Amino acid sequence: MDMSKVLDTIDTGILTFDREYKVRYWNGWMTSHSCFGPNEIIGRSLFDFYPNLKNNRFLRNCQSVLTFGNLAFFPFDPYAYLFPMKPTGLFKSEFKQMQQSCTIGPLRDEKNEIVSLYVSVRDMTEAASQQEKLIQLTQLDPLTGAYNRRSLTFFIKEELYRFKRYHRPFSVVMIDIDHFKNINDQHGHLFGDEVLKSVSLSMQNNMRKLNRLARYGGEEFCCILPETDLKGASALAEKFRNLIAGLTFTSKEGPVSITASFGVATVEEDMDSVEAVLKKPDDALYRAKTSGRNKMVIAA
Amino acid sequence: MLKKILIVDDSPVAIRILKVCLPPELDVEFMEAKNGAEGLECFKRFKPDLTFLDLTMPVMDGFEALEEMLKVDNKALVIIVSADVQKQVVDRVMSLGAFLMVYKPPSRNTIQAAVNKAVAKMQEMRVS
Amino acid sequence: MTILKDANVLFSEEEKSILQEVMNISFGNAVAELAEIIDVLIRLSVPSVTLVSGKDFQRDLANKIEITPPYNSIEQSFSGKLNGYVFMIFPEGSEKKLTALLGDYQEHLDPVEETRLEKGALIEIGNILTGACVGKLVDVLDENVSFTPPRLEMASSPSWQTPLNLIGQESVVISVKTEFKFMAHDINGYFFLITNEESLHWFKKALHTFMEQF
Repeated sequence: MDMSKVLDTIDTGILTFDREYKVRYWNGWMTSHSCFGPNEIIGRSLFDFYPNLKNNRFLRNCQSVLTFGNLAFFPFDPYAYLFPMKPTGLFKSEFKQMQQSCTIGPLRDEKNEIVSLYVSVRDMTEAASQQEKLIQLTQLDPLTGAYNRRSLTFFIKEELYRFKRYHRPFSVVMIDIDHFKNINDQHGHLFGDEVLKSVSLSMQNNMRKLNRLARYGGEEFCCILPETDLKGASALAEKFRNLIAGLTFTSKEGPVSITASFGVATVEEDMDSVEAVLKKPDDALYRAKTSGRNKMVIAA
Repeated sequence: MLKKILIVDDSPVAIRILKVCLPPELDVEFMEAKNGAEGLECFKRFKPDLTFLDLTMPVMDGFEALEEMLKVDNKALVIIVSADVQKQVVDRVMSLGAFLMVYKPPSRNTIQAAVNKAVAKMQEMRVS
Repeated sequence: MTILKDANVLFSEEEKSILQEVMNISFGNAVAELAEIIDVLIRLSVPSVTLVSGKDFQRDLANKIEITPPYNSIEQSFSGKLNGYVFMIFPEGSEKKLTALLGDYQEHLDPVEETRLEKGALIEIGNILTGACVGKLVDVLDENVSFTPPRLEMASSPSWQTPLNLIGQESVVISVKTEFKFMAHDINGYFFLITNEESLHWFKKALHTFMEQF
């Protein structure tokens, strides 16, 4: 049986290159997913075609395999792929580039000397999409698209760890829509849901990607702000307050405006648990509520 | 002329390998030590013509033992036999005053050559 | 902890001593060649070889680690004629030093990116160190092995579950411990190599073959 046919038809990219990074083999999968055929690329430097590979990490790992005969792994990672290629698959993917999982390994001659390297390239785009969907399913609140409460707990734990270990600050903003029960009672639950969705979306669209907005309870939200002090957090809360006050909803009875109240606090040394982190902004929110609403209170 | 050899290594297997690699016609008295501190004591008492010294050892490592030995006798012939073959390590032992460095595992050829060089050096020192 | 009564029958003091020296040679060569790839000077301790039973393996490992948790644990398995696992333990904070050592930091990183890079650095250094040390070991013994991707755990008490499932409670494992220090970077850590009982036979033979060349 001619094994080269197998290599040429297998649904995995396979290429080999020598110690000078000159391409020696380029299988069918590589040809159909790249813009290059074996005739063009074989005998030429890999870097002529993929200049992005000329980076420390790739070179370091190749050197390691050439020296020790180990395997180097480039697991699927949305930020790093070895070979920029168009994503394939039946459904449209949210990824602009094919997500890959690559392994580099040694090839030896009859004297057991390592003479060249092979790379296997596996398309992980579909798996990455699935993973993305699974993350959405398990981490997001289905109605508002904000993170759910379980994710919030996870984020706070993560930030608390970073704070304890590296003294990196973070702040918390608690948000509660004013008189939400009345809104629901007057205009119906569907309208209430619409309000929750819009409030969540407008906050999400007006903050750094790094911040995490979660739905904390019925009409209560909580925003985690990494690398942010009290000043930065209160500025964002004030921005949110104005944004929400500026939203207009249309109900059967005519236009409806809403407001929200805010409690702001920053992490402190003696906070050891998720509960402890949430207590201060929660208390501040309570004071905002009891002292007139549509305002922000900074934790003492 | 080469009468006394001291071998300092924490590994009995390493000592055995080294002895096997030494030229069979050699008629010498051996002394063995299993760490740098012990090696240094033996060096003072035994006054070897030639010392084989490992680097990675407990209690006192080979770097320190080498320095101390050369303080006792700055003409001492110390051959480092080590698996730690990083360039910076080789540079350091040579600048400390090691006579030679032999990489582990040693072979008959490398040890024979090292012994020949040591004997030549001893002759040279005696003449001068 | 159970003292293995028949441990000597399985693996004699003599064989332990040979293994120790073979480890010493291969790790020494590994770090020297590693210096060509990553600019570091590594100080290695004398490898120590012990035999433990599968059920005591985890406790034995934890007992031998003299740095305070939490720590970063990188776990990787290899297979071929020699089968086993490598556990590398780096103290907390080392991920930052390793990332700097690799020169992987970029300006204006957000914390998520930063953590990703640091985890990447730990995994990469772990993979290369394992590849170098195990690669050289089997090279000295004239064999090749294949590796699985490394797995990183940043925890106060790593689970170390994988080997228990595959080694088995009743079996005997050879455990080799080496401490290493990246000089000038103030990074120290542990390297553990564990092989399972099936590999024992091949290991013994390879060690004796190694000695026969002298």
